[in-house]
Amino acid sequence: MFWFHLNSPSGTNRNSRRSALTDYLASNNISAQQIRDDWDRRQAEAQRQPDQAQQESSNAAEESRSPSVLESPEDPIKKRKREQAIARIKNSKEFAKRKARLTGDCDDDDNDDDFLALQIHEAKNRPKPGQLANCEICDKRFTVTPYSKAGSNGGLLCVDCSKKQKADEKKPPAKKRAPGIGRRQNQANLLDGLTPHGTQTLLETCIKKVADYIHDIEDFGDLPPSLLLRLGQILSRRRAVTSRTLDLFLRPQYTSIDLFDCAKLDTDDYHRILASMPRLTRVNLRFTTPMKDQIFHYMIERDMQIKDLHLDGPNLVTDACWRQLFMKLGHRFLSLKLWNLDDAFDNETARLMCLHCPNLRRLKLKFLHKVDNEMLEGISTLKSLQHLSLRFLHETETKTELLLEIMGSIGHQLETISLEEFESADDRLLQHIHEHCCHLTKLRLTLNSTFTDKGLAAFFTDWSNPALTYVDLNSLRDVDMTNPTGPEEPIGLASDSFIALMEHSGSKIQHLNIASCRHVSYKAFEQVFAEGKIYPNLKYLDISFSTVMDDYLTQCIFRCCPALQRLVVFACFKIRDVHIPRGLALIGTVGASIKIDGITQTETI
Amino acid sequence: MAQSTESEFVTLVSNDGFEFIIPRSAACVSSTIRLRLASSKYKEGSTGRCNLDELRGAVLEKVCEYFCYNEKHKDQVNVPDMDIPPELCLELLMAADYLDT
Amino acid sequence: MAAMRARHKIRAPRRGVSHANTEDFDSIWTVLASSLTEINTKNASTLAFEEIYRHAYKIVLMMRAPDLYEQVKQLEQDWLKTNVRTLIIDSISSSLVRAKKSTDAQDQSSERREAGEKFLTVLKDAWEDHQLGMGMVTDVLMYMDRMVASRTHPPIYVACMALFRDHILRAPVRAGSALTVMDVLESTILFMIQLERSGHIIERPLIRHCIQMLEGLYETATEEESSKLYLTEFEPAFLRTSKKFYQAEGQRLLEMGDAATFCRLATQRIAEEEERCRYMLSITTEPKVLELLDEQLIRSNIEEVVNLEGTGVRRMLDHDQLEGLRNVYMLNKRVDQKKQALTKLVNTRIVEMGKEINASSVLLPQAPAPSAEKDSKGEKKPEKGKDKEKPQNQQTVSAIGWVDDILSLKRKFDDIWEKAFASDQGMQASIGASFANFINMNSRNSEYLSLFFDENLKKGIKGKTESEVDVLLDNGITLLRYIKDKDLFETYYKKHLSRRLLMKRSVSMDAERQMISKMKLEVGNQFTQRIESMFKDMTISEDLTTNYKEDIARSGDPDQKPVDLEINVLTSTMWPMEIMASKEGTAQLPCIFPREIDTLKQSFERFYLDKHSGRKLSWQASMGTGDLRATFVRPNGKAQRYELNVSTYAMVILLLFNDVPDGEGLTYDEIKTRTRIQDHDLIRNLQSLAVAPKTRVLKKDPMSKDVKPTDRFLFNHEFHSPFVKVRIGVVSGGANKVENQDQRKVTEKKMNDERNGTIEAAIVRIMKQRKTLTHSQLMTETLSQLSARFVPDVNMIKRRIESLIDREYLERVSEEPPTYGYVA
Repeated sequence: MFWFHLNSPSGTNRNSRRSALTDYLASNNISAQQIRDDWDRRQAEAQRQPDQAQQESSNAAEESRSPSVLESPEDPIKKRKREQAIARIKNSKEFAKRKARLTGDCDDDDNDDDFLALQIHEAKNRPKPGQLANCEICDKRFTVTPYSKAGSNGGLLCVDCSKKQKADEKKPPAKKRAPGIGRRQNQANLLDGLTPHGTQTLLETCIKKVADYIHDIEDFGDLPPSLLLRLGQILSRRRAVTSRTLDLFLRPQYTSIDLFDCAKLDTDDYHRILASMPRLTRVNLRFTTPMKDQIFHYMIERDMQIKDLHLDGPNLVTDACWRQLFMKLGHRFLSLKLWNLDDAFDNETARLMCLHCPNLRRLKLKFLHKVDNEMLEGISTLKSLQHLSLRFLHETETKTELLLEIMGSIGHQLETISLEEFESADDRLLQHIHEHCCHLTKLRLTLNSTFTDKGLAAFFTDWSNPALTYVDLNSLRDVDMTNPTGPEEPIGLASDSFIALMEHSGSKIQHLNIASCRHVSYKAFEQVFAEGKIYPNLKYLDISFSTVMDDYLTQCIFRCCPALQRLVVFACFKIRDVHIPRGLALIGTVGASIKIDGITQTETI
Repeated sequence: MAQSTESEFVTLVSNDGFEFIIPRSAACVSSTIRLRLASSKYKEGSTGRCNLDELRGAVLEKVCEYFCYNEKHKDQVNVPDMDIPPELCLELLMAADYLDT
Repeated sequence: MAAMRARHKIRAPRRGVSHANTEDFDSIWTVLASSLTEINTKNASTLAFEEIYRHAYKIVLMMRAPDLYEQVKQLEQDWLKTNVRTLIIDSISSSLVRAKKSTDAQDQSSERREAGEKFLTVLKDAWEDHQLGMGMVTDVLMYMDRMVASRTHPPIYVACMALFRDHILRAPVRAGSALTVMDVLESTILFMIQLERSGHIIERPLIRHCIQMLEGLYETATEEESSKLYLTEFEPAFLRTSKKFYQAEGQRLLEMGDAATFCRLATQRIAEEEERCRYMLSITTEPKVLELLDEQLIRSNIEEVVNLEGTGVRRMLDHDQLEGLRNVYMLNKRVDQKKQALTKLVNTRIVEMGKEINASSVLLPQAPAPSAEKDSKGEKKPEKGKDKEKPQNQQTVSAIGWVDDILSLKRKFDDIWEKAFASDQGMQASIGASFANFINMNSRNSEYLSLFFDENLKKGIKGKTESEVDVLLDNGITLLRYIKDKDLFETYYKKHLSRRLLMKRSVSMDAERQMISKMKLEVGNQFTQRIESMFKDMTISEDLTTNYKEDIARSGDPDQKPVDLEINVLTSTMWPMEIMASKEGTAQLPCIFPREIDTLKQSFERFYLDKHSGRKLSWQASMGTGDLRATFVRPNGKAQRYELNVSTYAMVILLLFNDVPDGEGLTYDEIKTRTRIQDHDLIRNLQSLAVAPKTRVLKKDPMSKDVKPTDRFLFNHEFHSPFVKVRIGVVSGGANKVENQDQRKVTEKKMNDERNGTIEAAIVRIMKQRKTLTHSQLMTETLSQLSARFVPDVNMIKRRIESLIDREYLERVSEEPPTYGYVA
């Protein structure tokens, strides 16, 4: 009867039972580890002094106040058996640990571990359907069915008691988030573009759930590629793409594979990808450190129909292998994106790439340690290129002239230009883009302190190119620390050019990043977001580090951008008190009071 | 025909014959169902009754639960995710995709 | 519980799609295809959305979405080609095809029209069916769209719309013909519009629907606004034909030779086009077609229309044809913000009319001018003395008439401006400029205007309500605005005002004050300062008079015969010069007052200087009046008493006769010596006492109109008047009249002197502030400072500068450029 008293505080709340119990134990300064140690010690004593055992163990039961004493505490053999079973579960199954991780923060891992293992053990020992059992609560004898509910202490319940308990369960279905986690979680959600009100879509909820239980999933079934892609993303983020989970993504009939974290895969896994998906045309793998020459050789041998090759960090692949790949398969490549190569891929390889991949529409090269200005010449020869993204290493001295040549020869066909960290490219580049490009929809020119406001304003004024949809001009500014207001003739995207940009592209623009363009004045913002101006398509706006931004301007932005979904305002400290429209994520405020549809929540730092 | 379009509730039928009657507004979170009920161009529009042959009862029950959950919480902040039994999550994912929810 | 579940492997849901291959792509597609055909044949109400959606879903899961997409496109294309196209081609009658060649085929219009309407109806129905059907298809294929749609594959709806464009609109009308359905559509709609322009009623909604179709179709799959078929195909054609039409229309209307009709019809055309664009074509076309209309119909013709002989704007202005003017204005405004054509003509006309007014006002005084000239020379023609007054009065009347005429002209144009020119700012300015232009052509404008005020303040406002007075004054003020030489006006106004004040001729002091405040508002504080101080003098004088009377009553000995004195002490600098200065100029001794008066005078002087020591009082007898009680002994011995109100001089003269025994008289010279009144004043006063027919208090011997030094004057006991109180005015002294040439010269000279002073003051003020200034800068600044008062002559300023240099107020600092410095 003692157990009943013991468990009554948590017995009514089955859902929060585990944490409540853990809390309870913790608050009484008892840890499962300690219980087990005690238990071991007592068991050893019991074996030494069998006659004392009964008395001892009943004492122990009294002291330990653990559910583990609920069943027959007087039988040491049974206890030992269970002990071993628990140990087996714990050793063989790492899921218990995983479980603990997935179900949230716990003060003590071991504590939970033990408890889980115990629970599993109990559940295993339950009667099978068709057998008879005594109800845990009313002790009535009843026939067990597959639908019989488990009671709070692991036993089964009769039909009546199940119903009663079900009624008790009508508590909030999920626990409220603890206030401490709130801000962190909110900010994390905001960064994912999730707005803090309303529910998430069922699809997102399910994807998260699937990701939570990824190790229990044997097969994805007929999930369409779009969902596979999303799952690939979420699992990559959780760093859960392993040899085992990889299997789920290998579908022979699919033509694309997108995995954003391959760090835990080994060479065999890459082989498996290629072997089990012979129809692949799109290979998009990131963090591919263990990828080696063989993989490329396999592709070449099989003459795979790869059109899109996106690889991040395959550093073990040699230059010779790269060259061979381009020579053999390059003619099929429509898009090639490479990131982070430090040991291989030199200028010569790049030259061969341009030579052997004449059909490239899309080329992105970022942080390739061994290439520099020299490779730029080759790009001018890519007569089908429509999308060009380049970012050299920070140390690389860039020359404007070579970029001018690219614009001159292929500028007219480009739809995307992304040139990051071409620190010293000057206004002539802008002039050339202005002159030669007339089909751009996406433009990214960042991290530059040489363009002038005048040059940028002229660039956007009377430009034959139609309005851009994607513009990223972050960090176009002067970087002289001793002169915070910048030079007299503004450097980078300042007031005039910002106004000119919005004049030119305001009607179509969807994505705009002008973070760290610190010379844009309050007045310019006021003018751009004046009453009557409207940017109907703008969904994303990043104005971080625009220190003039304040509550008033923020409201002006909301007024002018009805479709805005995300507004990023890191380091805009004058934003203190804003009322944001539904469906908008305001990211990066610190301690600001934000109102959504009349609900106030004050963030704490 | 007209009055059923006006009706406040719609019936969703699973492939194993379970029927769920839920508020129209809640069901219309799914753009598939919304389109389906929107006009009387198709049969569903006139009857207010949708057969969802891709979904079995247990899944459709969860879907309906979600519809109501969503409807109930749509004006609140920081709503926790609805609890989904893991064994249903894949099927429910397919259903969500199918219903565009 | 969660932990319990965790034991189970989660299996993929059984789908039975890709695993069980019982249903392959083709069989599903067959079902789907028949459903889509049902939709095309408008048989969909029995179809279950779910079923089609699920079929599409299955195919997509089989990774065959691109195939499905292509199949659907193919199916729709076949449908359009086989069923819809034939329907449409059949509806194109040969008359439509033929008519394509000849644009102007009025003879067969009704046949063509009928055929056109039939064709448009069929096309419209086909389009609407297609739209509806594709909408439904899109709905059920939503899942496919989600998976397939990308840059290379536009949504299925867009793709199917493009099919309609390519396989219906761009299909040849006859096999092998270059003529497409689109061409026929275009020419048919243009034909309908042509019909409408020539006054027929057409089936607008039908055309509207076809236009909507063109607006719903694009050249490219990305569906940019600018690639709408409406914009790429129809609109240019429409604008082309419209241009031609309006070129011809402009010629046609002009040939009718009536400006009013032209404007009315053009205005009507504008409204028609607006309406057409709004209800039939596209709102985006409106500015374009109107621009074209403006160019072809208005801009190239407006000048001619405005200047049309006999029917143009001139006639409209003369006959107050507001409606016509309004149309001209609106049309002109459309093509020219400055409305030059209209403005120019209006301005010319105003100046013309103004000149006429000027001329008529000059005409009257010019005729009697010679006689006036002679009059002023001396008293050679005493018999014309009576006539002498008339021309001057007439002149005054014509001066007032001049103002009235201008005001009525102003009213006329104000009315036109307000009702026909939409109170246009620019027009207002230019009308004003035109008025200023001709008003300043009349060199006596200031005097005339001041007289106008004088007249009204003396008589005109009697019996008028406050608001009427207000309007009257406002009108005058408007004219003042146009007058360049405001200082001249001030001079005249002061002169006239001083008479009104001193002789108490003003009807209402309120009106006077109102006038001042209006002027202040219009011309500025500086302008009215002196006038205001005149008023102040008057009030102070009133108090003074009362105080003096009290003082006398208190201190005076009761025996003394009380003589009522009403005195006006005037600040000499503030009052008109001629009143103050006339005597100083001749250094004449003051007139000798009779004893009683002299006592009074001395007593007041004592009283006044007691209060304000150090001041000098100088008595202006010429401005005063006196009341006398005179007893006339009739021959029958009866005594008749009259109260005479006479000027101070007349009083002095009459009092002389107290000491003259009855029956005796005084000669002119005697009077002159005993009073020391100047000839000029004496003659006038004697004239009014002895010559003026109704007020002959004295008898003159010999009886003539002119007064000669040898004439004798006797007290006239036969004086008779129906009233007890008789007012005897001084001949040609009482009323404000137009100056004669001499007076005018005097005024002008004084004016010039005053201006010189004002200019110098301005120059010194400027230089004191700026220290050094170039010649041109100084000129500009001086001009701008003075412009409120008058427009100075440049030479005048130059002379003033020279003079200031001579007097060492300024110095030349440099020659190149000429620069002056201020000498402190």
